[in-house]
Amino acid sequence: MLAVESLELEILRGRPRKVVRNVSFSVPRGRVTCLVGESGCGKSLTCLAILGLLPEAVRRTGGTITIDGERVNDLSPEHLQALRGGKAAMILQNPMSCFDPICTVKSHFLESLAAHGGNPGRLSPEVMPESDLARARRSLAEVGFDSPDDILDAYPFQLSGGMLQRVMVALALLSEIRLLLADEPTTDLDVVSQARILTLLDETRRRHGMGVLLVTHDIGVVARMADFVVVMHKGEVVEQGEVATLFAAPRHAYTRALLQAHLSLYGLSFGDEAVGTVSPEPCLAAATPGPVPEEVRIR
Amino acid sequence: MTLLRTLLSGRTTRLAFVAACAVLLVALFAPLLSSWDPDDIDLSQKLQAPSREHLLGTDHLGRDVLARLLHGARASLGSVAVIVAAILLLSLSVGSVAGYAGGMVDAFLMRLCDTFLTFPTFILAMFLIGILGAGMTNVILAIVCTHWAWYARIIRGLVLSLKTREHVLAARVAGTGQFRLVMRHILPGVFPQILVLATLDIGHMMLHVSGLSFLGLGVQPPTAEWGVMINDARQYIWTQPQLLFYPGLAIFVTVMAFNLLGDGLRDALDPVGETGGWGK
Repeated sequence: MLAVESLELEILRGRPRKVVRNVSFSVPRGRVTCLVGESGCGKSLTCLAILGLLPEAVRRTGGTITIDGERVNDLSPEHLQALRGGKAAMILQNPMSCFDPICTVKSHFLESLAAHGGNPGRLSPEVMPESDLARARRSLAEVGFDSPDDILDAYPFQLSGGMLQRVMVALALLSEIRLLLADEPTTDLDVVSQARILTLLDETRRRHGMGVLLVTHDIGVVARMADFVVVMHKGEVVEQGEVATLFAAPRHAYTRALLQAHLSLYGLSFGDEAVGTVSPEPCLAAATPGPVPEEVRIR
Repeated sequence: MTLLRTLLSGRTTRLAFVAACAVLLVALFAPLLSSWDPDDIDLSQKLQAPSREHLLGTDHLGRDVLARLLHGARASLGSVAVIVAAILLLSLSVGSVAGYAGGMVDAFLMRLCDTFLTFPTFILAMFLIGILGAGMTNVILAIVCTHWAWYARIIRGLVLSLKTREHVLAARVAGTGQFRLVMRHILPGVFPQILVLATLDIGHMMLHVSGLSFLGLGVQPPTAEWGVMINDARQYIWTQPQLLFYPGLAIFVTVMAFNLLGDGLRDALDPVGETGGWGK
């Protein structure tokens, strides 16, 4: 589905320096690949490079990116625009700042629909055609909103972070996307919302059969979601493999340190009997909140 | 409507709003408010004191001062409106293209702005008038030429900051085109701030227009304009000081009204000010 080969990114401010070096990994259809590593190691830049959205000061100096057989590097700006939100969508980290504060949720839907097969040019929420409205309602219902019309009429500040993140997933699901990039989608959320979003992402992946690239630095999230794990450190991939193998026998010192740091939060140690032949379960058990009591569940 | 309510909540701003509206209404309905023709010369009636017929008296050519004052509002506000509209059109286009496109386009447009910023308004006005001749059009051209670059620079800065916001990135991720991105997500963020700046500058532009007209470079006599009226009354400063006082007061009140309105608008659009400051 997604193949990144020998990706090199360079920051142009001051003396040019490489921030991502020789990064290669793939995201197969219907599977979740987790990109892990500390803040500033180049995870988010890699994500932005996949959609051709690098900031001005960053340049791709090498490597290829292929989505569903199409080389992103060779695409014209128009094709690239059609790819974003059409074949591949992205969920960003901070849902509160990802919505234009002066536009309703309906306006955001209109804009995404106009960009991908809706009614172009009609951008007034008052004249949203019934077919577009039905698509928006369907998409919001799919992410678990009982009354989509209330959400459509709301302004971003009237919704919670978890709700906005679900709206963002709903926006991504407007088109039949094949690849979903989720850049730390749970970092800014409370644990209850985190669990909800992860379940939603998992269900959505299964239902639509899309490939998911999940960027995170939370090993608990990796344990719960990942099929494959790619570990990045200082702009390079230091280790990658299936989640069970990587958790059981991390080869690189950084991966071991990452796992150890996570386990130590819960009073466990990498060499502990309890952890044993390490599988994702101990990490998962340590990081996943228990079942959410009915009274604290949010809509 | 909420904005208008916030704007009018302060007493000073409310007063400024009323004054600005009054000047605008006077400019719009000047012919209905006075039965005299502002350019009607009657030398037998020159330098008359205020009377029932001529409420503010007559000038050195026997023209009704009130009629000239009311029609003068048209010339002053009309020229300022044209100037502000031209500046906004030019600077919004240049500033948003420079800020959004970045790179070489930005560098080229900003050097162009720098070039225009080097000209002082009055010197450029004299230069243009020297070449093209005196007249309102050339004064408008000179003021637009020396002011648009300030606005373009500010707009560029705002666009630069807005385009890195996450909601703009999210819109790009969703496949929104560049034109729509600028029109829907960037310019709506720029516009309120520029509106404040333009309102604050209306007074400043008016002083330029009146100043240049006073020097004989702008509006040409006998057209009624406040700067021209002050110039006409110059030689009667000792004998008929009220002839200078009326247009001077009109300029003072209008400039003050728009300045205070701009201040009020800035406060009304400032979210920190609206809640009474952080932590309150």
